[in-house]
Amino acid sequence: MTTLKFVPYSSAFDTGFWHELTRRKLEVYRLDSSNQSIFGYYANDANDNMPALFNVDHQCFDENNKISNQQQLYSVNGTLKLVNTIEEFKTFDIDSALKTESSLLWNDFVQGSTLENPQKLNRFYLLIFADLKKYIYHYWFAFPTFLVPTAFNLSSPVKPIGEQFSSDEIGAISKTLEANKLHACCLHREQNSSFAVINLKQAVENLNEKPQSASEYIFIVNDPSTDPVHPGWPVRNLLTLLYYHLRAVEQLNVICWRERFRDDQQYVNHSLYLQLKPESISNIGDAVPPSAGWEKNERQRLGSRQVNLSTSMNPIHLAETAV
Amino acid sequence: SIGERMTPVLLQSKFRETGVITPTEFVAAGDFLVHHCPTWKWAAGDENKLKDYLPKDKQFLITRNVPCYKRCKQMEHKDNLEKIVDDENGDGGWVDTHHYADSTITEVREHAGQMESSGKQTQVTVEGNDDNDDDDDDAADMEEFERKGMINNDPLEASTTAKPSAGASTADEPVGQNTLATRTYDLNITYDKYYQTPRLWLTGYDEHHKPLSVEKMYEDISQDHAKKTVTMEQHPHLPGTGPMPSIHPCRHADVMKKLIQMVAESGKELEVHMYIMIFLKFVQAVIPTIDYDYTRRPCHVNHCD
Repeated sequence: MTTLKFVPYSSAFDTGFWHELTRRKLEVYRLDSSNQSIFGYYANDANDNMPALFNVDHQCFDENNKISNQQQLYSVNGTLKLVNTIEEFKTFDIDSALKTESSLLWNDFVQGSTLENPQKLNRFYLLIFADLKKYIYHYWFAFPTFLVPTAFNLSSPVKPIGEQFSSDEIGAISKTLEANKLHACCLHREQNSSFAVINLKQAVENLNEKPQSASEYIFIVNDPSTDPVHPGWPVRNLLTLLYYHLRAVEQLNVICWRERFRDDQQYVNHSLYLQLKPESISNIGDAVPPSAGWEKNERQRLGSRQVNLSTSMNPIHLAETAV
Repeated sequence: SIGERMTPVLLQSKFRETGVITPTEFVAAGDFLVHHCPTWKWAAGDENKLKDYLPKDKQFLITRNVPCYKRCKQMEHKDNLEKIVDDENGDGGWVDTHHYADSTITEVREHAGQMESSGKQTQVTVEGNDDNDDDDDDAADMEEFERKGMINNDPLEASTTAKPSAGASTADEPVGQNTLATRTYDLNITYDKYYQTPRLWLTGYDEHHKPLSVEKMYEDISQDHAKKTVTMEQHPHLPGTGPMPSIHPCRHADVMKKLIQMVAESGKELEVHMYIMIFLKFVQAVIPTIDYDYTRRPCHVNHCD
């Protein structure tokens, strides 16, 4: 059996984020380097061959200003750590920061609140040092995920949903999900070849009560990846969550939901269908399992990234280029 | 600008006579676009910059992470595909460089596809491509911020090494699977109160999603338009003071008026809610390699000669 592999997030800052960060650093945070709550988001409608982008923009500082009311955008909560010196940034204890962030994720997994609110499937940690004299910003994202289970065994190779479902079924699934704004949910196949949305908690309860009915359930998770065989981080975290909560289920059906809008039509056939044979990890208990998730730099090594905004922020440069 | 502040908000529809629209018509046309093409979304922008003549949550339109696979100068310039949409006043008008081609995008996609299937990247020769000049410095800078001795400890992470798209070729970058490193753009459509038309803004990002300099963004603007149609100004709804390229709206109403007339001559009527969709088609001539327009070409605009 082959194990499923996943495409990590690729961080994507909107330039407006840096402007707002600068303003807040000067007017609000000043030297305060305590953890701040922020949010970011991913989309499930990217073009082919695009990385699994994770976006943050100028609105992301305001927790109340969720973008979750918008279609195809899925918000993710995180922690902003704005350190005051370059030394602090370079020697920052990334291991313990990841541990802390992933324990927030894990506690929501095991206590069941993620089953009730699948927005909690993802978290992120963002470490920043802003060199405001030079307009250079050093940053490092972590998107925590767990190294348990060690494998997600596929019962059959990953395929586009069109190879698993008829176009009528795909139409019915699409229609059922039309008003769905959840990051993840479950569909139950009804008698009259239609589908009903049930939340993750209910689905897990039903499956634990009647494991033999597993083929009637299809989990849906909105997927930022565009890769034809590798889904993204939200899928990975959903599977970990389900492997923890499902007891004796032999079959797990998952659709990694991807949408695209062209010529006034919705296209979903590039969504992936996964069939897995879950192995329960409930025996690992409440202890937070080992995690991973620091984003690699442009050289694919474990290191931070930087962005230089002197040409768009430095007033001297702006004055020189002004017409 | 002072001009904008002094101009009263347009209340009466003058769309048919002059090609301009009111804020209400802008919102209706935006709603139509968002409904038919959900890659576009309404945005609120900076709270301190809210315009009271537009709904709070519908200040401007945005589409993000739009791929831009190659530079304008890499595009083959085919004269026979060109059509001057508006050549009356002799100063260029709008050159729709792909009027008779189905779409540039298909071509670019094919190009990207070829590179994928060949496994190894096709070297595209680009004059004056200086993207690689400071790679050595970059590597040293990056190394300073790398953690030594830490290797990939996540066996379930798929390899994501992106292959560079055309024009961004770096010979020593490992070729991976399925991801194409490409420039991307965020596009915004605002309502320009002074010109009373929509206005398009561009923010470009490189293959690593770092902001592009103005000079680099100019590589993605048709040379026929780069200096006269595109100007650098402060975005009306976003925080910060950085200038952002935008397609200057001074000709938009004229072009629109001509299109309305052309459609009228063919016995049809151009509805105002179509405004932004049509606007997106004529500004494509300015940014031909930015792959943003997924709406069907309205046939009456396509055959308006």
